[in-house]
Amino acid sequence: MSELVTLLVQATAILGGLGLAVGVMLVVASKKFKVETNPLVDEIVEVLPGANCGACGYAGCADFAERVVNEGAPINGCPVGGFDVAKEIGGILGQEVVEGEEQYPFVRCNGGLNCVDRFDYVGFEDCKAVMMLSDGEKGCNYGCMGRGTCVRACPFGALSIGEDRLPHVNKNLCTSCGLCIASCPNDILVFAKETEKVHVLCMSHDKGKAVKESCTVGCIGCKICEKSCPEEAIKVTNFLAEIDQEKCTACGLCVEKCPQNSISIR
Amino acid sequence: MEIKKLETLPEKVIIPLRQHRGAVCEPLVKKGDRVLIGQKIGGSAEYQSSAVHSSVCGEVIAIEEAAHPDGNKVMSVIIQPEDSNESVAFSACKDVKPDKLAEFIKESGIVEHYGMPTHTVLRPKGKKIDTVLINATSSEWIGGTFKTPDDYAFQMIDALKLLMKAAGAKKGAIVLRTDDKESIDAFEGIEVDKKKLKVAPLIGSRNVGYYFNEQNSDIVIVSQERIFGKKILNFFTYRVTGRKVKIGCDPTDAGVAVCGIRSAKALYDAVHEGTPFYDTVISVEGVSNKMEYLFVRIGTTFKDVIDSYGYTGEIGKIIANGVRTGVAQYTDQVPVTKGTTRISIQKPEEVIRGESIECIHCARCVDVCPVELIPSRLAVMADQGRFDECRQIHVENCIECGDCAAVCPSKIHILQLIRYAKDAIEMAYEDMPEKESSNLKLGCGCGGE
Repeated sequence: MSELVTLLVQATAILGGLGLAVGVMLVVASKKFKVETNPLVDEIVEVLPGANCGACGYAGCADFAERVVNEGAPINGCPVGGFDVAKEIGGILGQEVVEGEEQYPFVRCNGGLNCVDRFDYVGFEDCKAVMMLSDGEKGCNYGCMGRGTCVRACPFGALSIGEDRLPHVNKNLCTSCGLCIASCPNDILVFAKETEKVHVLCMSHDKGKAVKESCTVGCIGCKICEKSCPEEAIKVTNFLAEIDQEKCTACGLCVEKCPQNSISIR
Repeated sequence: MEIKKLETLPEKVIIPLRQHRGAVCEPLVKKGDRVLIGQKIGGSAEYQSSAVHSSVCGEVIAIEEAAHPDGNKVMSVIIQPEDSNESVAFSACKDVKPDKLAEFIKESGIVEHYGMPTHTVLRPKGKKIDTVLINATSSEWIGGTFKTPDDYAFQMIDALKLLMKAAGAKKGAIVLRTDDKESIDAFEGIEVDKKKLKVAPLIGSRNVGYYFNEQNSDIVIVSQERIFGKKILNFFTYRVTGRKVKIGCDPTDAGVAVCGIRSAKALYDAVHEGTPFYDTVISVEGVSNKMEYLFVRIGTTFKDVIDSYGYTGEIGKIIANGVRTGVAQYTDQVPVTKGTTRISIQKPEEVIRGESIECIHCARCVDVCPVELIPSRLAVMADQGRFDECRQIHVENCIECGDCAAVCPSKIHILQLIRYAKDAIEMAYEDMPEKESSNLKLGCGCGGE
């Protein structure tokens, strides 16, 4: 009986001692090797949407928060959260936030049904897949294929291919993440600010004759807009008109003058 | 086999300045120039390129971008022919030195039908070729201008020797198709270096290496079943020589050069008659049951070929290079190029426009796949953009034969999806800097480029 008691006492003593020693070690280690985390980072992570979509250009929400605190990344860098989140981050960091201009993807092609099809495509519905065959079914090599690669790329369902076979952006759903812009194989989609009113709805660098053959609304590089613009904001380079949005006053003269109706004002 | 010669003078010939994979040639003529048959009209200083010659005598009416049977537009020389057979003086050059032969092949414009310039196959940079194969398994166009079957056999063996000389290879083989009696009869009992050769079938591990030993000869003639597809070279090399070609590599990495009958014949003609590669034999099929072989000049438009085939009705679809893996043409104003082997014509009512529906998991595609892939799974993954997973189940091994898409009862465009995935994988790894990609490199894994 007494043997058993000694054994019990011994075991308790050894285990208890071990526990105490390891406990002390842990306390020392946690004091000594403490990782300094900035409480601000955690606070910012709290207010971010938490989708980890990567649209900001960093490896997720936590990474973005860290960069904002430590490396001075722009506090309005989260396109999904938008102005509200930027304001909250600004509150945490004590910075003033000015509401930036909203920008949405903009389709720089008005081809669609106005553009001639060279052949009848039957196959996998994807712009890149169509373009693997003979540079696409359209008569124009620069235009929108209208097969919806951008629609499939959009995680928020903000894009749709309309009756005119061109993508349309639903601004209520769009978060300006830019995934559609990255997915477009012909670079038709670009970000356009709401204040930029006048746009050339064509990307074709083909010569006038070739454009006329394939599309009824394509830019033929006639330079009428360039001559008519009072602000000298339009320049035709390589058979395509480009508008300098800084100079443009949205007077609408070029829209009236364009013989192909390829410039639009909104 | 009967070969019809295309006699009628075409209205215009379109000669693309790129009929190979590689650099586009610079035009050496200008609008208004008069050119002769066989005159060099395009050349490039790049190694990965091949010269282009005029196939007719006439006047250059334009140098502009024109449709190419591959689908894209390519800078082309458009010539209005005149009724004359005036040609540049051809002189046989039988004593070309082995080291000059590659340059000679490039200047003669000889190109493999799968696109590579022949000299780059025989003398790839930084690689050593020890075996040359002539693939005669899909020999619809063998007829050429051979007078007798014996003539064909002798010319082929002579061409093989030339190819071996150009590559500096010791061994060479001609691969025939098992059910191609005509060619087998032609080669049976032929004498090479005073040794009688037998046409030997490739069975199991008895590959060409075995027959080199057994027949104690550096040149053997073997036969095997037809392999069909667009990217068969690696698979073909494995079947014939037993050498495995790693993913992302080509047969030259295994020391094997695969040439076609067409380039072999072109080389024979270039050496013995001095004529560059400006005419070829293509087959035309469809509409009626007959298949016709036509001897045409390169640059003849498909329209002229179809006219001489004798079909005047409405055309639904024209397909270049075979109905399964070929490219459908959107216009008949495309030229026959060095890579065109066959033109298929379909009537409007023959054109199938099946819309694909959901996969029913019947696994017929898995059954027919000659390289034992799982096409149904690859198609789903490609559709969803999961290209890395496609790689994990070896999408690169696909030989693009099109069997899977042909048997699919749901009419899913499996081959197109697989090609799409392959293309996307190539694009994804294209821009990756060397250092970062060292352990994820897509290219050849066996040292070569």
